[in-house]
Amino acid sequence: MQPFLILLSKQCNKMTNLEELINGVMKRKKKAQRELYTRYAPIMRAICMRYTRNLSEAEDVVQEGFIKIFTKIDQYSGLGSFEGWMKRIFVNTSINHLKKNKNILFHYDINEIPYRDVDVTESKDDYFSTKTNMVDIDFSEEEILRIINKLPDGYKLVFNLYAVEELSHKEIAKMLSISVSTSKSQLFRARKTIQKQLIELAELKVEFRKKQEQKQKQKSNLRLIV
Amino acid sequence: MLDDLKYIDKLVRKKMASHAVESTVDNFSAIQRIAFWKNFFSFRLKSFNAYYSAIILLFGITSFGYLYATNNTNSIAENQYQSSEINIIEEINTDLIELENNTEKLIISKEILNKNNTNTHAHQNNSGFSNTENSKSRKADAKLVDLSKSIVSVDDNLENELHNTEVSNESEQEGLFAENEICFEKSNQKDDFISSNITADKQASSTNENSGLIISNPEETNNSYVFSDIINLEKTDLFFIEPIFLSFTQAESYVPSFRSFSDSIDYYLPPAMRSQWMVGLNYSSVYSASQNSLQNSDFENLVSEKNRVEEPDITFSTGVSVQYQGRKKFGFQTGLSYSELGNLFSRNEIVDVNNTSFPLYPDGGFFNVDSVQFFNLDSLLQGVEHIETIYDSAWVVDNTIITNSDTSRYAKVQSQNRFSYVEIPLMLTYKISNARLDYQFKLGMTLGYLIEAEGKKLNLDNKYEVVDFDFDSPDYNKMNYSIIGGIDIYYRFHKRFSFSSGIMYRRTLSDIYSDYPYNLKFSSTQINFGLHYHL
Repeated sequence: MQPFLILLSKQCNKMTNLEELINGVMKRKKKAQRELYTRYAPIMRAICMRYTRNLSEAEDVVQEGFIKIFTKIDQYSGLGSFEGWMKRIFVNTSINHLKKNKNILFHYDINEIPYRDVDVTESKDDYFSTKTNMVDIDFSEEEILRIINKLPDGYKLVFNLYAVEELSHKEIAKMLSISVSTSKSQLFRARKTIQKQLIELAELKVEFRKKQEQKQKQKSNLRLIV
Repeated sequence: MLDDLKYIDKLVRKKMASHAVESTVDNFSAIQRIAFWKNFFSFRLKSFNAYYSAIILLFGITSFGYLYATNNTNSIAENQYQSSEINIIEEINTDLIELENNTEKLIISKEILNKNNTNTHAHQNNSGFSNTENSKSRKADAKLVDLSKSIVSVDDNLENELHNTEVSNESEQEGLFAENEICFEKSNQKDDFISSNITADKQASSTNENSGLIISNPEETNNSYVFSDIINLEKTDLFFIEPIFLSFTQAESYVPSFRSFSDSIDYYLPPAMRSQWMVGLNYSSVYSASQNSLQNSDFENLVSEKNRVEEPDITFSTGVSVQYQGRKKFGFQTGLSYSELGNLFSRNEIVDVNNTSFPLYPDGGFFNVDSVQFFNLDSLLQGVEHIETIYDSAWVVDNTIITNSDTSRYAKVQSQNRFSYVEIPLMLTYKISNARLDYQFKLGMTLGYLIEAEGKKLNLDNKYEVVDFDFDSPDYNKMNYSIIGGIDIYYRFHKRFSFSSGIMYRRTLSDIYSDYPYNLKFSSTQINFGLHYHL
């Protein structure tokens, strides 16, 4: 019971602190703005990195996003979580950044993708294509992010909005000015591409593990001999 | 197939949920600086655009200062004259009313005396009522009636003269004041005559147990309260008279050359030749009314009491304007002005023996005859239990309290509440022209900055207590936004000059107070006058 109470009190304190923080930012207090930036910048940077190509581009988007937060915080109505509201702003900022800097290409044929390491041999497919096997392998956050970043812009956008932000195809279509069917097809292709990448990565990990095990065995054998 | 791939969504979502990326570069300073300037330059309701106001302020500050200084001097002189005239009329009225009351008292006392005479005729000598004294009082009575009539007729004539006379020079003023002096002297003589007769009656009636009234002269008390009896409490005062009206109606007699001047100049220019820019000096007389709306239901009584004690008041606005007129009918007007919004706070109060004041209402709930007060219990806010603290001695007949207490206890707390703003009006205009006149319809808003707040209000914690405004407290919103619209009619009497007059309606959008349990906003109707120069 006690740990629960401690957790509950921490949550309550956190909420009060967040309210104070929001009020401070609304009043344009520098200290509150700094606190908000320190607290949420890493999370928002991670979100922006899923939409941009590299860290420097993500930093630009983060900067734009926080400027919007600091100037438009009075538009936060209090309904829904503050973090969720901020995330939506950063997602929109990222999409606008992409639209501004380049035309977003929605590829319809997987062969059109200027993408390396697409080929996967049948044997690997057979061995690693099952759900169970994929789930067993532990992929780090950086690896997942790298895979997503390698996707073409259209796939990446639709996949991020559907899979991570959990928007519907209708909402995505409206946001990106595409049709619902385009959204669905882009999502399907994104998933397929990610799956292929995950398979390849998993294969590499397994091979690496095997090699490590072999080395260990050799070392232990040598010891025995000695 | 699709379902097989859904695990990818789950996997990615799980990994990305708590993903955070730290950076070695701290961009906060740049972000904070950019956000600061964006807020500074933003033109939104919630942030004040100091940049544009600074530009207009630089442009208009010297002309505004000169206008304010000149305008203030003129209005003081006008007000002094007007207030002296009003004071004279008030004093005459007061004297008349006192005279009537005294006459009434005399008549009543006479009736009582007569009754006593009838009842105790057999003991006339012992009671002290003699035939000589009775006849004396009858003679005094007749004289009093004659004198009252003559005073009333003299004072009536004087009043009519004062109302009808349009005084435009000093010699006439002096004549009127001299006549007033004569009238006052006569009134004082009557008072002395009355007091001497009343004293005689007082002595006569002092032994009469049936007299229900204690009669004495009204005593002049040197107290800080404005009025001392119910009749004056019901009187409303005019605190401000628009001096511009007088000068406007008399403009022709003062400046007869204007007409001939305008006739000789071809004032009418075709639209293509007219200048698009115009600057002007404006003055508005504002009828301002406050609107209180409840934010917190715990303060419902306070808000209803506030609505009862606050009344509309007349304020003013003055400033400079800059207008741009497009080739088509639309244009734009801005400028800089000084405006006052406000209301009249007025509440009757009674002060108890501990110097605590209680509000009295309704106003008609009590009346007094000299130092005798007839008081309705319902008009006391706290009820009967405070009777003992308020009055030295009192007795109750039905629901009425009759007491004999010091009239200085009654007070009227009155205050002209004022919120002074420096404002920038921003309006779109639509003009319809004919030969001499331009009709301009205007709609826009004003952005104001509060520079002063003076007045009285009810204490939030105790609605019975009246407190002064504390301008230094954070209760006041410094920024104020209002919507304004109306029509101005421009008369072009010279190719470079025009005179305007019109009517505007204004309503504040933002609350005067910050974080208060009630909202205070103002709606006002104003009559504008302006003189404009076409560039």
